[in-house]
Amino acid sequence: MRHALLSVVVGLSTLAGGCKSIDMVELQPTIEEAPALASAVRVSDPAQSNQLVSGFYEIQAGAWRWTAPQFQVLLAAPRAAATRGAQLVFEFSLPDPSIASLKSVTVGATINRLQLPPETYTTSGLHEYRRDIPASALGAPEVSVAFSVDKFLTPPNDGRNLALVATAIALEPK
Amino acid sequence: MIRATRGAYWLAPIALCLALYWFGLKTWFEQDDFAWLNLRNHVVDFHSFLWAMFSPLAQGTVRPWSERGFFMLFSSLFHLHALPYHVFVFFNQFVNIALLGMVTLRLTKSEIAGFAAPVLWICNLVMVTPMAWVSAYNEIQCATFLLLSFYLFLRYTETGRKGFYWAQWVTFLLGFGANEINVVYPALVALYAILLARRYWLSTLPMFVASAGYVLLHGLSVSSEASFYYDMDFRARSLIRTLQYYWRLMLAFSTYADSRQWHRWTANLAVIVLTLTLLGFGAWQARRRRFLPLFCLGWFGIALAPLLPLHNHLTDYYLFIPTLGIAMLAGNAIGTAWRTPWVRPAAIGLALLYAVPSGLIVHRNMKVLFERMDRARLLVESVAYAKHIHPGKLILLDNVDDELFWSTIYGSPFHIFGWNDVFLTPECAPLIKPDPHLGRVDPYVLPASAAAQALDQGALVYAVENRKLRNITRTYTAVLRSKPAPPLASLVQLGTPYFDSQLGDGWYQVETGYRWSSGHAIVYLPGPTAPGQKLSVHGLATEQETKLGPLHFALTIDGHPQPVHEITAKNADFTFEYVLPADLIGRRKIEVAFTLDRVLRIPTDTRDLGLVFGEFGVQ
Repeated sequence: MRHALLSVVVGLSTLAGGCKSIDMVELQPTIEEAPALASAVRVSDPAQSNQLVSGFYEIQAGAWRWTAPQFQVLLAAPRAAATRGAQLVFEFSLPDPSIASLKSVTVGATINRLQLPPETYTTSGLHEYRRDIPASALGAPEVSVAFSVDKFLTPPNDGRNLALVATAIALEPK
Repeated sequence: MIRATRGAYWLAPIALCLALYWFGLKTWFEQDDFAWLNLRNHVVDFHSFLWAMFSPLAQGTVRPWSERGFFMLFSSLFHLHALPYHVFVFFNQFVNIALLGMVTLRLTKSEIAGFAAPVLWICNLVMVTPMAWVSAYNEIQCATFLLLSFYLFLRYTETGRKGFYWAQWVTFLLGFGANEINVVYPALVALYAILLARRYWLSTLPMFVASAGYVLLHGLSVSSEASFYYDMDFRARSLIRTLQYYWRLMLAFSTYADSRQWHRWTANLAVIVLTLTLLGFGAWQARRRRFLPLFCLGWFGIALAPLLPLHNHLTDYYLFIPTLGIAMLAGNAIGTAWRTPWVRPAAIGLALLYAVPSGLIVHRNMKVLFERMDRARLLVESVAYAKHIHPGKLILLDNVDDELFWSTIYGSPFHIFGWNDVFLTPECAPLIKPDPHLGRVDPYVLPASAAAQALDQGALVYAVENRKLRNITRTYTAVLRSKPAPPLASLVQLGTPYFDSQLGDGWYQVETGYRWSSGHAIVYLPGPTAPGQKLSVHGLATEQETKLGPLHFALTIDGHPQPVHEITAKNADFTFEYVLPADLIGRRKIEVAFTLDRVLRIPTDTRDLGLVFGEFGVQ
């Protein structure tokens, strides 16, 4: 018993002595944000995935992603956008099965609380949604763009709501 | 026994303990640990040291050796490095293992029993929490005092030497500083004396006086406020149901069967077989006028009895000390069976029927606790890093789930570092399952309006990812700005600067955790969302103010006058509640204004001071 007690005392004293200069707690590095955002995002670029805020599924074939009916992206405002405005450009495609099933798809967007006019698409293939953005909506260096789509597919045994096949989103200078 | 065999005899149970609970050395902290780790920050002088060591806290408990002193000593030496805490806890448990072996050996005169008892005890799944969670160390320490006291009493009854008796008194009295369950010790020794050492039973009576005195003092210190988890139900049906729950838990097989989703009858069968074996052995021995098994069963019952009325707080580690009795009983049974060779396989089989499932559950549960506390460690260490690289910045945590909230955030680990500016984003609130019996989630969440203001002032947002924190400030800010303006916060914490947009006239600058009002001040809140909701106002009148006589607090809610409250020294730390008028339901903004009938002037201060406030909230 005496030996055990002695061992505990010696052990603790050694630990205490050795730990005199220890920090309060160890530091666990965090993942800090990239220094700058891009004003154009290719959704297939993993390095830009931090700008895809919500509503994007996995990269497919290294080139595109399915979106959910609501999706959101973060873009840097182009130079001088705060005085001249900019153009929002969204490149996407509608596969044949989507149009065959849904007949038409309407895409709308909101940028910094400003609702942009929606557009309806009735054909399959590549499309572009392009809108002028007034300078008043581009005061901040980074802007959030929220898209909404009125119809979508829900494939059986998938669980996802598939709206559009997105390829790129950008704010282009005027 | 030769020396090597003797060494193995004593070390094998310790080695088994290490093997089973290895993860316990690697676990970190959680829940109550953070409050205890923060305790030493409240010690500034000898008086506050005495308060920290001996004032009743947490359900009126006073555990200076196993909680207050232990945490204050270790946190001052090792801060938040958990390994030394666990090494100490393990050493203490090794002492318990040795003591249990020694006590059983003396009681049974059987080396097999002296070996089997600690082995079976270690295998029990109720060891998991005390071996992994530092706040449950009090169970381990209390077991040491009880076993040591009982060992000394045994030596006293064997030798008649008074020195053992008085040494037992010392360890018994010290045991009160470990855990209040120590009060049962006189009943344990009295039962032993009555059954097995009749000559000595009178010598146990004075210890009842000590326990009664402790119960009286403890009763005075326990809060009279109703508490769901510590509600006591003394009805026979409730007590039996709780006893049944603990008995099944102790025999382990049913927990294992549930985890494997086996049929209920397999668990019931195993429980019945093990129960009949233990009780049958006790009855058989009693018929032969051998009362040791009765004493062991009595140990279980006596040590568990004070905890049986706690019907809403069924906790595995409450069995830590009661199971010592069953371990001695099982050791005695195995030791007795060993003398008859043809009974040995049955004894081994029954021991394995209990020990194997229990050991498997121990392994699984230790891993679960390790992983949960490791998440707590990663969160706290990551926030520490963020604070290190962004000094002075408020931090908002996003994507905090229910488990991480209740195991870590709720214990306020950041207060240990003096950081009162780490909050959750409003988006976390729906991820957390509220527990009204435990406490409110609101104070930990920064409402959207306050978050927007904090972000304008340079706050940072970190999302909890798998094992990392990711800085998402830019994304979060951009998304927040793209949304419609957030509603007013329903809880305004006046001790932080992030609710300034909801304050009208009459407020001074934030001080440490509170804010002074003038004689008249205004707060803006959202209207109630449902009938019956109340406005809650928490504040404090200083001693200087109450000395001058009663102070009158008159409040209006959007122009509706409310009953005037009188504030005296008796209710100086007040929380007033007002039912919100039904016509305000759904209103975006209501004005809450109050007026005091006098203000305080301090010679060195030019302000007209009203009261100190903490919160205004709609609940």
